Amino acid sequence: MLSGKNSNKEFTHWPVLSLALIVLATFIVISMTFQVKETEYAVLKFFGKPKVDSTGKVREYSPGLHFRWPFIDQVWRHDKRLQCYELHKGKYEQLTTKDEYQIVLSTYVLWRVGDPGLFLRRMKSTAEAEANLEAVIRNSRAEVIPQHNFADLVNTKTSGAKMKEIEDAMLKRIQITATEEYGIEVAKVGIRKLGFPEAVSSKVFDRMKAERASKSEKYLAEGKSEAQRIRSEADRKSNDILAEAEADAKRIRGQGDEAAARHYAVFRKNPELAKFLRSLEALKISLSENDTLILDTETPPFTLFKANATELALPVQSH
Amino acid sequence: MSEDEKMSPVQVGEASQQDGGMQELVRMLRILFFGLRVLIIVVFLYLLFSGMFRVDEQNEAMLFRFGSLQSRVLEPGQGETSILTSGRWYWAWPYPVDWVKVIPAQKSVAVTTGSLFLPWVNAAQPQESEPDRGLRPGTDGYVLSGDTNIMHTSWDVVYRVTDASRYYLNFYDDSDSVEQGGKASDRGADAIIRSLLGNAVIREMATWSVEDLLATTRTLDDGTIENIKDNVQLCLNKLLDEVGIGVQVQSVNMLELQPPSATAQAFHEVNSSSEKGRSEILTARTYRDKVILEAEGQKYQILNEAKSYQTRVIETVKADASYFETVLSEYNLNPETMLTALYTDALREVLGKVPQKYVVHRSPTGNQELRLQLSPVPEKKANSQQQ
Repeated sequence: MLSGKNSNKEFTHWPVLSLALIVLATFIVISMTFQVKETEYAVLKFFGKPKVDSTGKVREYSPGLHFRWPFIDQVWRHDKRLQCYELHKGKYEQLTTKDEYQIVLSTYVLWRVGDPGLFLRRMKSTAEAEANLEAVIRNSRAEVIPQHNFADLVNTKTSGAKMKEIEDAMLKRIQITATEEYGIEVAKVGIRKLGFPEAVSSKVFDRMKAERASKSEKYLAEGKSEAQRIRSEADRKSNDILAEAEADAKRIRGQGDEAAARHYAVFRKNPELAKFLRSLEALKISLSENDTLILDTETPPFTLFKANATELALPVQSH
Repeated sequence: MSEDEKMSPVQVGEASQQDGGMQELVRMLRILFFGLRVLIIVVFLYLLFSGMFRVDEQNEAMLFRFGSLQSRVLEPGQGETSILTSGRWYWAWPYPVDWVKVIPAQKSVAVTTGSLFLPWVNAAQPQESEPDRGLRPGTDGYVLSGDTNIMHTSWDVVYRVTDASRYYLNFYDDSDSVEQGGKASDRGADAIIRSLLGNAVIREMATWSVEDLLATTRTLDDGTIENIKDNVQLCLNKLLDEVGIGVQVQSVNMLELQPPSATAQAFHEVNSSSEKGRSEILTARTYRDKVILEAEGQKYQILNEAKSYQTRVIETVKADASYFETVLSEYNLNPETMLTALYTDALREVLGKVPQKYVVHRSPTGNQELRLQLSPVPEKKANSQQQ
């Protein structure tokens, strides 16, 4: 009866016991394990020294849960993804091209840790890595840019611009040093800004103004010239149209006259009568209301006036 | 005799007080344990249900267990994927066992190249410009055109994540960085895309003349027409492919393009001259249209007059011929009468039409002088002069 009572009491304490066990297990797991994310490198340091594998190379841990000795092993981590770094942001470095042009240049670099063991041995922090990287890039820039003319950077002919080749040449130089010396993998180097020193840019402004003035004159002259051409062409075309029209009209009139002439054949039946009729027609048409007609008494029907010649001198009003 | 019976009344009182205290303690412990049980059940239920999550339609998600990316088998023959399909419910262990990274895969993100533009141009309180000074490297952003002109420009790119695992696993994201404590805007995917966009703009604009840049298009020797926006997008796509960032460019836009303030007036004058030139051409074109249309009108007038003449001449001759045939038939019957009738009819018509007629007697000698006032003063005028 008593033992049954005791076991019942122990059973009633299971929540406390299970909670204590969970806390203890969690503490042990946390202190004796570490997680490595997919996005990072992790290296174990035993009393500050990186642990190595059987080949003597710094041991890298794959993503997942791993064992470590509590308090003795320290975990060093670094993001293994590509990141962007703009060199000396906000400041430019002056360089001279092969043809003595003074230019200022700024570059960006995409980098990641390539060899975590080497990186860990040579670097303390990302800031230190980027400082070293900056020196490497500056050297490569100083080597590559003076080998090229300014036209290799800036050129209206697409075939003449070699900016990509210049960037690739810089990348090649940087990759060798960064990988071998610092365990840094550089994926890309590119020109972020390209310009002139302040004093040179003022001179560029003067040239730009002169070019603009020239362009201004050119556009105006081109406009006037084109306008003149359009006007003269318009006049010529107008004259051509009218000349063609006149020619066509002459042809049409000629065709009319030709067709009319065919009908004149009928007058050959009695040319004298035809002439007489045409004369009468002409007489009817030629006299108008404003004309003055003077006839003598020999003209029929005024021959009737001969009997009274002295009175015939007076004008006769027509109604 | 029992022990209780041997106790003094005081001892009995103390013992009963202790029993009461113990009972109270036991009761309290029972309540506490009950509360603890409830708490454990609540925590268990919380852990069970807090692990449930849904991936929204516009997102893609990845599940990491102890930091390792979990893959799952797709339909048979379709392989594995580490992307959790959107629009479904999933369950994960609580952190730090499992954790979920959500990538806004369908969301369009805009990144702008501010550094190629003057820093104060779009500021709320713009600084006084100094038109005659040169541009300070590092402070004043600009690009060089292919014909070595300086231009300020501003571009933006709108992109969408198309490969969430590549985007997240290959490119820095400060939200889960371990060491840098950095700023994603300076190092992460946005910064990378901004740098690549700036690189593409500088590369492309360095092969364009300033005229073509202002026009935004150019014609190559083979007649191909190129657009600066398309070229920059093409160049940016190549750069993105080189680094394999797992994003798709939706659009690239040139937000601003303007000359330095020191040369702005000169550029303005070019525009003005260009406009004047265009205006001259436009006026000339208007003149051309007017002159040609007028000529076309005159052409039709001339042709119609000619056609009218043609018709008139032919019809008149036809009518004359018909009249002649009619008269001839009558004439053949009685020539003299016909001629006299025709003559007198014509004379009547003519004399009837002419208002002033003079019939003079012929002098027997043949020498005769006749004086007439031709074109006399009109009657009305004569009347007014008299008044």
